[in-house]
Amino acid sequence: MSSKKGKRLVYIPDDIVKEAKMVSKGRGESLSLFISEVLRMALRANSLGYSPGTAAEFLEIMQAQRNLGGAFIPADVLTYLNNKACEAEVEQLEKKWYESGKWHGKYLNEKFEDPIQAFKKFLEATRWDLSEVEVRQNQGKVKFRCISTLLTGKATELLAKFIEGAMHSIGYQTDKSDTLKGMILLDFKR
Amino acid sequence: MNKVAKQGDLSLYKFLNEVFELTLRANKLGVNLSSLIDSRELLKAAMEGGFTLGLESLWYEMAELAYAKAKNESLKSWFDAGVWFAKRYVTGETDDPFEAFKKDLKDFTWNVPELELNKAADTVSVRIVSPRFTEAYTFLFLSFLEGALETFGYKIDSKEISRGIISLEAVRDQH
Repeated sequence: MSSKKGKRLVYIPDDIVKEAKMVSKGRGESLSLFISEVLRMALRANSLGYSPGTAAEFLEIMQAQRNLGGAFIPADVLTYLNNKACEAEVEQLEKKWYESGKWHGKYLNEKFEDPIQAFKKFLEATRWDLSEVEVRQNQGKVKFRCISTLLTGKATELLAKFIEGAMHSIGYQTDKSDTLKGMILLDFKR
Repeated sequence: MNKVAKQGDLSLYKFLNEVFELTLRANKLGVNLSSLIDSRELLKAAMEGGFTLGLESLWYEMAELAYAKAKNESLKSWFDAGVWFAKRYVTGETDDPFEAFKKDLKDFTWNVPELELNKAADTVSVRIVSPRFTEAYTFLFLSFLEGALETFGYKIDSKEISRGIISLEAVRDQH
């Protein structure tokens, strides 16, 4: 690296430079302006706690969420809906969460190289009521462990159905299921 | 930049390469890095605003079930959520609480194609068009808005509601 008049020279692989040139040209910007902008954004992303690697993963998850038809709902309303809708038709509601999970899993399976890790990251990024999401993959078996101090018993069961639906779409069967209020322990096998 | 690279245990060279790879990956998805930052900030705001993210179709189906089972109670639960949401802005230290509320509401309803919320003197007008809203969800969302507007000191003066469309005028409550 060398420096001159407050500017620095950093070596970047040729293939990346070529692609960056194409992108900047497509945007009608100079390469230099494009690079400065990218670096400024990278520093902002860093201040939000993102390394470039985790930022890329997050970006893909959020993009997938938008494509899937993600929507926000007040958390208290969701708790209410879980309880009230369960009073109405618990089996029907479980089926809806399961089917939603299946739809989600199908999308992740087609979109991501490692759909299980993508699903874990999706849960971590969007289900902030979960304090812990642990996924262990070992020789065709997958263990899910989700912990929350906020979920009600019904909400825990419905989320477990959602996870099962997603994993079934990804090509796994439920081997063992143990759900307690605020705790989901699920084992899957190929 | 050097400092940031070191924090991540990376050489400046490696860090910059990762940054450019991320940018090009984002470009292939049709987004830029600023949208990543926007998404991150949106999620943070939604989390702090007491919202949960999930599949729109599932929310609609659950709303239908609950509304059919207990209409008034369901409406009240959405109304209370609107009160809670608006209270954050009313009691916060933002210069213009209504503008902050409007911005966040627009951000959190990214699935709603048309949402206009305009304040002029003592009135607020709202127009929402969302073809995917079910009838129950339309009324529940209206109740959420009513709760929020009441918290800001407005009462509904007139409204026109049909599935997927909410149009209302609220005036400042003098009492």
